[in-house]
Amino acid sequence: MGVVRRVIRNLIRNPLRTGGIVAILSVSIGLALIMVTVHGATENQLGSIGTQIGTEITIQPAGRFGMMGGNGTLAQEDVDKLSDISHVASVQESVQTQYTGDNLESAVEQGGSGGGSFPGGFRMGIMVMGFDTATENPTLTGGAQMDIVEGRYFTTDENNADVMIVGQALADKNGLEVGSLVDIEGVSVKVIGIYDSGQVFGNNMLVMPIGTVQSLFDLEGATSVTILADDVNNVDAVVSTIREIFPTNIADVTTAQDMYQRINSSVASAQSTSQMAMIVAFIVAGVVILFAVVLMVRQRVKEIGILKAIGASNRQIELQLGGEALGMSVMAAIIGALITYPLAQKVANLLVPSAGGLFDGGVTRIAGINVAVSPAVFLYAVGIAIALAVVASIFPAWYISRIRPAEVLRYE
Amino acid sequence: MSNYKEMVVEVDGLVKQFITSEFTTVAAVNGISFKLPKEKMIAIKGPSGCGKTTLLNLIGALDKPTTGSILVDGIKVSELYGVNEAEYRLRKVGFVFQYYYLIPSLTALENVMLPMDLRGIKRRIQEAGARQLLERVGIDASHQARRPTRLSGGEQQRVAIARALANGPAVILADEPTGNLDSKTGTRIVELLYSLTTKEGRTIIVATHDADIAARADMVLEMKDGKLVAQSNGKAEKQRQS
Repeated sequence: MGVVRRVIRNLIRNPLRTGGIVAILSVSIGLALIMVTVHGATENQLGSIGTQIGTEITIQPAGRFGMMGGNGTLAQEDVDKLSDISHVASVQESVQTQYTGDNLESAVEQGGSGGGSFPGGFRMGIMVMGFDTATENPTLTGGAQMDIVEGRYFTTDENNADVMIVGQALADKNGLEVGSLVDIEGVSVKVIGIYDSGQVFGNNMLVMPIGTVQSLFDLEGATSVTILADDVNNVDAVVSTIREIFPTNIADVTTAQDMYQRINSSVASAQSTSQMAMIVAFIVAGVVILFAVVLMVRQRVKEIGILKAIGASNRQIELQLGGEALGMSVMAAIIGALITYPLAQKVANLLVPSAGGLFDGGVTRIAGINVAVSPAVFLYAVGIAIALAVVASIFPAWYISRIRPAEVLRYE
Repeated sequence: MSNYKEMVVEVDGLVKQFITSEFTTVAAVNGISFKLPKEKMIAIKGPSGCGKTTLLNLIGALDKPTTGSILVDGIKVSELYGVNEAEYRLRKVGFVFQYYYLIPSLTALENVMLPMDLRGIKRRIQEAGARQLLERVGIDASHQARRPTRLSGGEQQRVAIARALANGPAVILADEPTGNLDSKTGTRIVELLYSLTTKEGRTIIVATHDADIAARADMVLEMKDGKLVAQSNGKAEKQRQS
């Protein structure tokens, strides 16, 4: 009969007490593990956001907000000056407007069921976007990316060609397929591809070469220009020069860092919350196990006295009580690790709301944390269990060494 | 110089003082000296509070003397600390308490195996030894797997005696071993203890205020107010009772 057997016997001697302590510890350890996981995810997300955003600068006509509001375009002569600014690596123009003809019907229907409807009878118009054909995989208004599911993307020599790529929902609604011809503002435009953006509004758009949109809708200049600076350290200098071309009453200039700050503050706030909760959970777990062991030792003073009287050394008794604390910690850590799987993502969602914002330039979509719970959480759990057992053994080590068997066995 | 081959316990000028809750000093053992022979049953008798239990605790290293020395089987008990003290309790003495003090979560068999386990003896040997000891004190196989709560007082005390014998100690210290038993069971326990000296050559020191136990002893030490007031052999004790 070794110490392990004695530890198990003592743990099952009072199942209610052991179960109660394990339950409380499980919650504490589970919370700590969830917070460790969420904290790790926020850290990854912050790194990822930094990589994604880089040196991007966006210019839009003043007062334009996302795909809504604002008037006019940025004058082409001013847009043309942008590529001459030093430290500008690339300039990407785009235009967007509404299709107002009768030949196509919006896929976002009024009053229907499902995700593509507006309550109260408001009907979403069809958005037309124009990009430079040299732009690979452009970003649609609302932040969505195009995934060509049929046909092809533009070739670089199609900047003024009467061709377009249609969102999946819009194509389905209007029976369009690759090769279909649609009359847009009196011009027959050929469908060369169909894309899926994964978004209801993103799939309700027509995408054309920028020159085609400008020509068909009689637009001059661009409704949005995206510039990449050659280095993150040069962004402020480039913005400063842009401001000389586009004063604040003409255009809004948003840098990637502005967006980064907004997202960063959201995720960083979640990170600090998770860190604080993690520390609190660790402290609670430590206090619970310490309290449990203090209770265990105080209740079993006589038993400790007997063990000493029959020749057990302080170390042997500490090993037994430490083993009991470790046993409870390990059970709690396993349960805590198991509850981490279903709860980590939910907690992350509470800390950083991930519901996609239509009008926020995709900030919340980027900020939303995707938590992947890895099996390594069990390693953390074992680490926590051992750490707690070490914490828990401090009191018995001190207390047991002070017990004189004659004193505790003196009175019955 | 002591002759260790004959004397197993030598106590010299032993004093144990306690500080009371009123911060006064009381001597539970007050300047006692004696020598006890091997392979005998020695009774320490006297009224409650005379210092019998304190004396046994000092001999068994459950407590530290204020002054004086104790020599048990050649070991200076009063100078032991820490691991050496635990090792002495494990190998040199076996305790039998009035209230048995068995570990409640362990079976009778496991309680007897425990001191051997603490010594690091292999489980197979522990179990065989423990079964043999339990048989010897009259606990049959059907009772060996029972927890203490399912044993009678007499059976629990027998298990406690078997536990005290587990590591073959030089001295068994029994503190009022019949104090919590009815007279009939108490007599059987006394017979058992006595047989351990006569049949197995064990040295047993019994603290008691029971005259019957004192009557069976080979030597009787009588204490009063922490002092040794009389020392006689068992025959004298018997004659005095008759």
